[in-house]
Amino acid sequence: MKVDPKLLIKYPFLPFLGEYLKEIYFDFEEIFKGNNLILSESLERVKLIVSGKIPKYYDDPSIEIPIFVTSLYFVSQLGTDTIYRFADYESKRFSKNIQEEKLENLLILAQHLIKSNLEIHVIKRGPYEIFEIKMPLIDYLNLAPFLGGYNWALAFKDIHLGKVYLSKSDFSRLLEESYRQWIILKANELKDYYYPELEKILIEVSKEIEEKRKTYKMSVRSYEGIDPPCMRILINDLKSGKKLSHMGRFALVTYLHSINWSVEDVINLFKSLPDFREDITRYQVEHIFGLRGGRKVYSVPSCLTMKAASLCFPESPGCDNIKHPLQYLVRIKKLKVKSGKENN
Amino acid sequence: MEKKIIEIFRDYYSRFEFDSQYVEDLERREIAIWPFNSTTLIRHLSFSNFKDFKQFILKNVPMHVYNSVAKYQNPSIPNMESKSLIEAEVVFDIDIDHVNTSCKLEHDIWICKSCNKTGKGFVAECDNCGSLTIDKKSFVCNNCLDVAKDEVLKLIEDFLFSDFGLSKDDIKILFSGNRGYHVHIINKSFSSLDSRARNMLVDYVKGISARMYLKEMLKKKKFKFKGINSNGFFGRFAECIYDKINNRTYQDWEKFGLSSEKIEQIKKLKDVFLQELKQYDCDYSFLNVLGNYKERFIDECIREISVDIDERVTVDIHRLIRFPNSIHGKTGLKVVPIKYEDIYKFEPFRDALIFLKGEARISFKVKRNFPKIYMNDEEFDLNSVENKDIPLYLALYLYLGGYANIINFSI
Repeated sequence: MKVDPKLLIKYPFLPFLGEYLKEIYFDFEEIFKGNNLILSESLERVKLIVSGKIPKYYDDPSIEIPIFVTSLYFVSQLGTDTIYRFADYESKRFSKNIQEEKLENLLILAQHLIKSNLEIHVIKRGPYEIFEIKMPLIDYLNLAPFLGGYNWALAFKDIHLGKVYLSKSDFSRLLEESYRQWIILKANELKDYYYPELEKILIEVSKEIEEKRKTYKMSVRSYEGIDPPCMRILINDLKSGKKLSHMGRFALVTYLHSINWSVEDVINLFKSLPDFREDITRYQVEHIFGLRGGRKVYSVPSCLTMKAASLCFPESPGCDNIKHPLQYLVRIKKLKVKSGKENN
Repeated sequence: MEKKIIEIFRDYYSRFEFDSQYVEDLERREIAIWPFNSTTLIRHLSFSNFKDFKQFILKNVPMHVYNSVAKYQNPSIPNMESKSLIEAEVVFDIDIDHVNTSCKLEHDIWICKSCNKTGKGFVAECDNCGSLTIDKKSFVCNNCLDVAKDEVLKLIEDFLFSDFGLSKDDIKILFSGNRGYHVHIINKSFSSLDSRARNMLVDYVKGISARMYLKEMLKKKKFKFKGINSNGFFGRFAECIYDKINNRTYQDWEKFGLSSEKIEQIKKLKDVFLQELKQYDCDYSFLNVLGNYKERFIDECIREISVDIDERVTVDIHRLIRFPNSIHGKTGLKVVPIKYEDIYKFEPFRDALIFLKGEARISFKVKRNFPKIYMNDEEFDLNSVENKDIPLYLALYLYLGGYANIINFSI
C-alpha cells in the first residue's frame, strides 16, 4: 500500500522516509552545490529557530522533506546548543500535530519512535471504559526523567510486571519527548558527514548564531568552584542548551540567589534555554528573589525535594549526611581545609 | 599481628577459584583493592583473565577487593570519561546501618560531634541540636541481618518481580560481608539506564515522592488517592492501611497513641473504611479519625512498603562494589553470592564464615555491652569470651571490626 508522503511532514521519523528521499532523488551534494530553494530555506529555518522565531513549513512534501533533512544536517554541524534548540522546537510542533490523533494512530507512531510493544488496556470504571496504554518500564525510564515534576514519579503510575499504565495525555507527552530524543540522535548521526563545499556557509551561519548567542552567553561562574552536584548538573545542562524542568529552573534560581547572583546575571544565564522568554523569566526570577508578589524569598529546596524531582545526584563525601544542597558547600570547604592541613 | 592476618587471607585466596560465574566480563571491569596498612584505595586496575587476577591478589593480599558495576572499553584508564562506559548494572545496596531496628537500642551507641550528646540506639540526626555529623559505634547482630534479609525480600518480590517484571535470572544477590546485601539487576535493558533513570528507581523504591505528595495532600485536605485495586506503590500503600485497620487490636491502637474514643470510632467505622479502600480511586478522608496521628500512621505505612536503599550506590554508574567471594576486611566474612531460592535459608553468620578451623584469644579494646551472637549455629555471650580460646572466625570478626585485639592464635 502506498503511504501518503504528506505524513512525513508531520512525522519524519516514519520508516518510509529513506524510501521517499530515494524516490525524489534527494542528494545532499546536489543541494550543497549552490543556490537553490532547499539550501536557502534550510539555512533560514535553522537561523529562525535558533533566534526563537517561527519558520515557514511547506505543504508540498517534495519541498518540505528535503528542507527538514537539510536543516537537520546544518543543525548537526552547529553544535549541541543548536541541536537542542532545534529538537525542542520540533518536539513542540510534533506535540501540536498529535493532539488530534486517535489513540490507535498514536500507537502506530509510538511503534516507530519507541520501537517497543505497546498495548491498549481497557479498564471498566462503573459505566465507563477507560483506555490506558501499557508501556514497557524501560522506555518510560528513558523518557520520563527528562520531563521533571512530581507526577512523573513512578509511584504515581500504575505499574505491574514491567509495564507502566498511562493515560492518553501522559502517553502523548512521552511521545513528544521521544521525538525530541529522535531528533538529537539523528543530528548526532549526521555530525560526521563532511561536505567541504559547505565550510564557508557553515562558518558564516556559525558566526551569525554566535553573535546572537553573545547577547546572552556569559561565563557561568560557580560558588568558588564547589557547586553541589545537583546544581552543577543543572548549570551544565543550561550551558549545553538542554531544557530544564520547572523544578530544575526553580531550584537553580534559588541557589544562584543564595550565592549572591543578581537578577540580571540569572536572566542572562537563562537566555541560553531553547524556550527562553525574557518577560516571563524576569517575572519568575524576581518572584523567587522576593522582589514581587508577596515578597517571599524562596529558599533552595532540600535534598529530599531534589530527590523527589529526580534532580539529586549525590557524591561522596560532600553529600554524605546532608539534608540541604547548601550544606554541601560547608562540607566541601571543611574537607578542603582538612586535606590542606593533612598535606602540610 | 597484621602479617598473620595477611597469611590467613592469602591462604583463603590461594584455595579459592575465581571464575566468570559471578563477575561477567572481568576484562571490562575496573578492579580496585584496599591494601592492609593503607588509607587509600588502589584503583583503575584491570585484568584480562582470572588467572592473572588471582596471582595479583595472592601477591598483594588486600583487605578489601572491589569491581566496578560498569563495564568499560578501557577500564584501566584513570580518567572516567576516557574509560568509555559500555554499560553498568543497576545495584541496590541494603545496609542495616540505615534501618532502625529494635536491637540497636541494645548494641548501638552514638555521640554527636557538634554538641557531644550521647545516646543509645538509632538516630539519623542528633535529638539535641539536629546535627547530622554523628559518630556511631554500631554492632551488627543476628537480628540486624534478619531485618536486612526481610528488606531484600521486599525489594525483590514487591519491586523487582511484581512491579518491574524481572525474574530470578535477571538478578544477582550478594551478602555484602558485613551489614547487608547487594542486589544487582543483570538484565541488559536495565544496564543502559542513565543516572537520571536510576534516580527515578531510587525515588520509587524509597517512596520519596510518594511520602512528600501524601503529606502535601494532607495539608491541603485532599484525600483522593488510588486504592487496593491499583498496581504498584499506591496499591501496596492501600493494602498496608487495609491490613492495619483490619488487624490492629484495641491494644495495638492504644500503643500507637490513640485515645479510647478514637479507637471506638475506628472499630465502629472499620467496615466502611475497608470497603472504601477496595475502590480504585479511594477517598482517604477516613484517616481524619486518627487526628494528629494521621501523618505518623502514613509514615509508618510508607516505611513498611518501601525499602531503605543507599541511593548513592544505585545512582552512581561508576560505583565500585565488593568482589563476589572476596573477604570483607572489616569482618573476615565472605561476600557471598546467593541464589534467589536460597535466600530464605541463608544465614550470614553461618554461610559467610570462612575461617572455620583454628582458635584465638582476644581482649576487648573498650568495655561495652555486646548482645549475644549466634555464629555457626553456636551461641556466644560476647561479654564472657575474653582471654578464652574462641573460634578463629569470631576472633577475626571482633578484631577486624575494631572491637578487640587478638592476643594469640592457635591455628
